[in-house]
Amino acid sequence: MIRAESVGYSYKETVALRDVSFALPAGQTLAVVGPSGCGKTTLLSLIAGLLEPATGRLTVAGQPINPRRPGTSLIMQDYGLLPWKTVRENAALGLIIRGLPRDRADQALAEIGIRELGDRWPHQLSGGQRQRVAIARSLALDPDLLLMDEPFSALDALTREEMQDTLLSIWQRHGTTMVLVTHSITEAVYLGHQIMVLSPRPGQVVGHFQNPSVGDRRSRAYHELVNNVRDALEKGVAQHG
Amino acid sequence: MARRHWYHYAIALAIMAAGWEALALSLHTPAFPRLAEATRAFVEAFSGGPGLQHFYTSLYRVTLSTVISLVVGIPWGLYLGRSGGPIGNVLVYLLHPIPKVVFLPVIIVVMGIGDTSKIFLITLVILFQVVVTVRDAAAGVGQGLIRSVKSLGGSEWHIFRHVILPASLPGIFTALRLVTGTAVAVLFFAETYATKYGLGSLVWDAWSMRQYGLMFAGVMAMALMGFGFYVLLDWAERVICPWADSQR
Ligand SMILES: Nc1ncnc2c1ncn2[C@@H]1O[C@H](COP(=O)(O)OP(=O)(O)OP(=O)(O)O)[C@@H](O)[C@H]1O
Ligand SMILES: [Mg+2]
Repeated sequence: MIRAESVGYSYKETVALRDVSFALPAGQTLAVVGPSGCGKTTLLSLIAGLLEPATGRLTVAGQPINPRRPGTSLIMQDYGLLPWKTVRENAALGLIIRGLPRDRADQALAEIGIRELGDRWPHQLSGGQRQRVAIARSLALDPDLLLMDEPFSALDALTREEMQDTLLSIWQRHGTTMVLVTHSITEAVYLGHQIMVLSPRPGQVVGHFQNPSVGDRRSRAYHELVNNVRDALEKGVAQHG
Repeated sequence: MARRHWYHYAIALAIMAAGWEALALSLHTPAFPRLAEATRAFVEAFSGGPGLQHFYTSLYRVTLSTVISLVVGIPWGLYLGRSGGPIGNVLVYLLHPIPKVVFLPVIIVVMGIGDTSKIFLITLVILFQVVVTVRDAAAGVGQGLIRSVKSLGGSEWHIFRHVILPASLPGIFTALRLVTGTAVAVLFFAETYATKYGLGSLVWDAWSMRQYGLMFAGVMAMALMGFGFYVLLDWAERVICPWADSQR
């Protein structure tokens, strides 16, 4: 679904990403971990087509990246809900923009368990509920590629695990390809078929793991992988930081 | 902003009345009449006939000027706030502080002494307040929301329609509150020449004939008109920007 070959990106003088390569097959999930400021958001913006890679090649479903690709859906770090739209209107925004009927928004809100909040304003919601609205807004568009930027970092530990399970069940039902940026190693190992570790800025790949224990928080393989990812992360910081 | 109740208005009125009386008693001059005298003149002047004609004429001029300044100023401010270069902004800053009343002779030469010149003068005074307020509101829109609409496949039009415009609406209401007050105050210049009707001319004539009761009756009518705009705008903002209202 996604293929990156030596992708690099710079904001004026600031080199944010260098020589990032990976391949993500359709229907799989990729978790990206790395220290703050290493270029994770930049990487998602590139895949979403909001930025153009400075070097290298990046394709989604075999096509060069394009911000208008209908199947790609990005959930931003701060959720990107419009304060002047109700929950229902926010969930329907992508449909409205694409001129599609709005009823899929209600279905998506129902699927994610917040249909009864449809008439509220975003500022009247808890962090977890806001997160759900953002996910519903994406799901309403029936995406084949879901990009999420630290979706759960603002949530308390319990809500966070609940949302992780919600995400997992979405994946099991829809088989959506997902890229998930996170600060949390355990979250990466719980949700990612692949786990990619980036070094401090400029972000380079310092570890890439295949994960057979997705959706399992208790197995030995899970704990082992958590340790391996942590080692890679620390090594990356020691060598590049 | 807390919801206002009738007794808030009553208390504010009482404070104003007390201040008026204190001032009138201490100044003790016919140029500043007692409240009772001004009120009597007010009731007499505005209980029918020419008084109301004065009021409606002014109301018409202020309303039309405000509408024109919005129609011109909102797109102009939005443009400057979103994509206007430094030249446009410098121009606005240069033009904004100029006392527009100095153009009155030119305006009269070009537009004649009728309604058009009066409305144009009022519009000219308030237009830049609209432009600057709307520009700042539009410029303050966060990049995050714009990216969010873009990532959903939104075009420039969608960004405008779903982000820039609603984000600027509270600023547009601020502009309106500012300019309706200013527009009423400018009547005093705009209605001093060649007009039979208008609160400005009422005040001016009363002044020149030393009918101070009537003069202050005209001032009261101006205050009421301005106040009427505030009430109307508060209501309109609650209807048009319900999200902001529920945040208060
Ligand atoms: N618009 C920009 N202009 C200049 N530099 C930028 C811009 N956006 C990001 N950067 C820089 O690029 C680097 C990567 O930023 P990015 O937002 O991708 O990091 P991140 O990994 O998402 O960080 P975090 O985990 O804190 O969200 C940072 O050093 C940041 O300061
Ligand atoms: Mg980030």
